[in-house]
Amino acid sequence: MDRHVIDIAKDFSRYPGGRKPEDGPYSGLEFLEKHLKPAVMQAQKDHSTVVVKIDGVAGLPSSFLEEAFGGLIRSRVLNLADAARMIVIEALTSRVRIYPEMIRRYMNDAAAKLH
Amino acid sequence: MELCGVDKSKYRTSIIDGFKFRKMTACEEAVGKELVDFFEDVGLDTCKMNPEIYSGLFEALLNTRNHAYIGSTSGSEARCWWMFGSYHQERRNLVLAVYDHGISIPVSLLSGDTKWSLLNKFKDMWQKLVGASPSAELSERDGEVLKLAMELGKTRTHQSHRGKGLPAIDNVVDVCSSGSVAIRSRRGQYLRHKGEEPILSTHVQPLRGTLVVWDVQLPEGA
Repeated sequence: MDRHVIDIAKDFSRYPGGRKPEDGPYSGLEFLEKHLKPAVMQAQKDHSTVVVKIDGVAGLPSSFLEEAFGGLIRSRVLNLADAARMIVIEALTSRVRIYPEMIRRYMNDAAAKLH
Repeated sequence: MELCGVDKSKYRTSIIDGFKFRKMTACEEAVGKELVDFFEDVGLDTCKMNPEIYSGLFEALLNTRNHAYIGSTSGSEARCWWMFGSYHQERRNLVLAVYDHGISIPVSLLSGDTKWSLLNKFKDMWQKLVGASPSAELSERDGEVLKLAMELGKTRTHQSHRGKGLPAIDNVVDVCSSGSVAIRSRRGQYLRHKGEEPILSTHVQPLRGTLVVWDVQLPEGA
């Protein structure tokens, strides 16, 4: 089964920005629309997974993460159960290991607010 | 941008007693780019830094930039902010100061143009605390306004060190080994050392805008 890989530092930016484009370049919304959502939609078609690599970034601002991953749930492209099954957050170095849990929490919170 | 003192062609760093100084520079780029430029100027490697330092400072600077000039009548050419500071490699001591000459935090929170989601909650608590309605016009209690707004923001996020908005300014200290943050905005001052309760005060003379200074020791490996 193919995996769709998004390396945030290489494919998007080492310096992710804020929530919306008006907060500056490399916003969470831009990441959602240009990278995450297309990869998820493709993965849905070919029954594969999306691997999001987060090593190599200077940091991941909370507003960026909330808009990208919480926004994915809000967009109803996939539900929380499918997101847990389909999206793999790859954090190989210890400096970024706090983020997978944060991402899960943002998706959970977004899902909770949908109901 | 000349009005803001932007002249990036000039030499802007110097080394004194082990501290690499970045001179005051007006910021015209996006927050992330300015922050990375600052780190590089003072000799910090963002590839090795604790990413929460970048994330926390980014949120804090974004908040500053987005709220400094709400409703301000200043010309757009003057709506910039300034950043300066230093880093001592051996001591891992980072000093970062950010100044804007905007409307100030108390005014941005309490003015008619505010979009602060906690305003009604703040009004209720202020009424109980002070016995009067808060007003952007009154500066006598600016220190208390800063503290209460900070507490409210932290309560809402339920996250000790990853908040957004005003708490982001404060929370940077918590991801560092030690240090302090000082916020001076109009007449209010908020000072907190890591692990301690904040100290607030209200000055006789107002400052135009807001000055935030982080003086922190970065964690090992930063």
